[in-house]
Amino acid sequence: MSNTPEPILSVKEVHTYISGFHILQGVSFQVERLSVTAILGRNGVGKTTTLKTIMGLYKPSKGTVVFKGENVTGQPPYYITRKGISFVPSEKNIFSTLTVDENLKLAYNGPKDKISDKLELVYSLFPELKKFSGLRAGMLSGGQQRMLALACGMIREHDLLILDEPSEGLSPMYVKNFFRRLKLFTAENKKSVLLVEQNFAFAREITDYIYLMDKGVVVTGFSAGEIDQRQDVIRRILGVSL
Amino acid sequence: MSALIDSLVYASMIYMASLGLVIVFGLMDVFNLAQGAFFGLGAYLFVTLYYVTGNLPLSLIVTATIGFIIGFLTERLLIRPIYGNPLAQLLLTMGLLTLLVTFMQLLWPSGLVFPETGDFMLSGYVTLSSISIRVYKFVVIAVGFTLFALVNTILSKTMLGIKLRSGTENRELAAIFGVNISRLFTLSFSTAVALALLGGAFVAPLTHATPDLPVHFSLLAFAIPVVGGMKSYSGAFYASLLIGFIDRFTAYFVPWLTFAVDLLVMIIVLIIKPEGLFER
Repeated sequence: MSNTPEPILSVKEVHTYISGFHILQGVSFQVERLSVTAILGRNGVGKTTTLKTIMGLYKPSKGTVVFKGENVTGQPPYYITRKGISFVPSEKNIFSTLTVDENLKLAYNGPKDKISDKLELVYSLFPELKKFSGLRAGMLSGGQQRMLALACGMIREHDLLILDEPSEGLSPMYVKNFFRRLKLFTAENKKSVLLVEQNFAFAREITDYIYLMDKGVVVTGFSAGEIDQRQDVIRRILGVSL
Repeated sequence: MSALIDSLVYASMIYMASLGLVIVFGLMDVFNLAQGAFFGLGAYLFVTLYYVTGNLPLSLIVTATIGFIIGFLTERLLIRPIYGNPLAQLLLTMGLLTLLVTFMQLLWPSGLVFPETGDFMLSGYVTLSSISIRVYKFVVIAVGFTLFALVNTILSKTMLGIKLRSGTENRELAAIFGVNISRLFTLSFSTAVALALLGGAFVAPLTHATPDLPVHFSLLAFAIPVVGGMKSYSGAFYASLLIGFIDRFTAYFVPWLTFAVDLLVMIIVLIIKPEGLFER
């Protein structure tokens, strides 16, 4: 898409099978450094599988995942996390038997002496969580659990933040707020973001690149400025216009 | 009085026999049927080592170390290839149980008696309200309770404990959180087997290494996660206390019913509260 020499993440011709089903049938795309990239597509086209394949939760049968210049295809998830990808799944993304504080501490993997600064930073982004810090995460409301999941994603040392449906289950007001905070956070801390989103309306203002997925492949990709010229393909793939 | 102390002793023994089982099942979903056999092996090894060296701490350390090594090898060579296959795990650990029990019967066909020593802690007696009680019983109780306190502290206060609990709840998410699950599995399994052997070593001065020790404690250990909650680490302790008390008081008043009553408790819990009595 862009001419920047080295994207932070590049996925090439990835094929993934899940219990015999050919889910990803040659997925290719890239995430440029310091950009926010969104993958859009209808339910069941392989968006989550793409993210889980990047994370090493599924092993691709073909293709490569290159992160920061290193081929990480087929590496275990903990290794990929330590390399600097922070992944927030869309469901079951926190430990309900651990406290809010323990969730954040487990997520944090940077130098020990900085952990209290980091906790402070995350609690300032999500002040709602601070008063529940000693509570088991399973006791939180659905919206609060989602905030905790995002907070865990942000507190982890990373260069690339991957969010699977971050707005799901949050109120529209909150989603708007959240994307604003995310933009601020990534700009200040020099992070790249890859997100999969159904409610693209909210994410639109912070997104730089868009890829459209259909039936296990990435159909096309373009920069956010080109959305208006691409309305016909968007309508064909998503069934709605942006 | 003596029934009370015996209950606590028995509870400690059961706890030591079952803790590893609960940890391994909680974290890895592997029900290690051979856990009780490892416990028995610990008793035999320890008594043998004690005869050879005459040195108690050394015998304990060597027993635990051998346990850790056996656990490490078992996990890497046998358990690792069959993660996620419960039937294969049951068959394999069943085979391991049979193998270990047969091995012990071959090597020590009539069991091993722990020798009388001049040591007060090991072989001495104290008189409490006109009953003479073996001092070592208090040692076993202390070890059991210390182990419980230690496990609780590790689970609630340390990073390792948080990792263990996260892996127990959701392995995939723990991996995303940067936990090296495969290393955690090896460490836990090795520690669990070391704990089993160490437990066997600790009870040996009281029970001696009898031929039926492995099977007896196997069955008791199986009852613990069922009664205490399959993935409840603290439940294992409370369930051990419950079974310990029920067993010893039954033994005191209705001796012919002992042991059957333990399994009866297990069956009753399975019927009325199949998820176990205690929460995670």
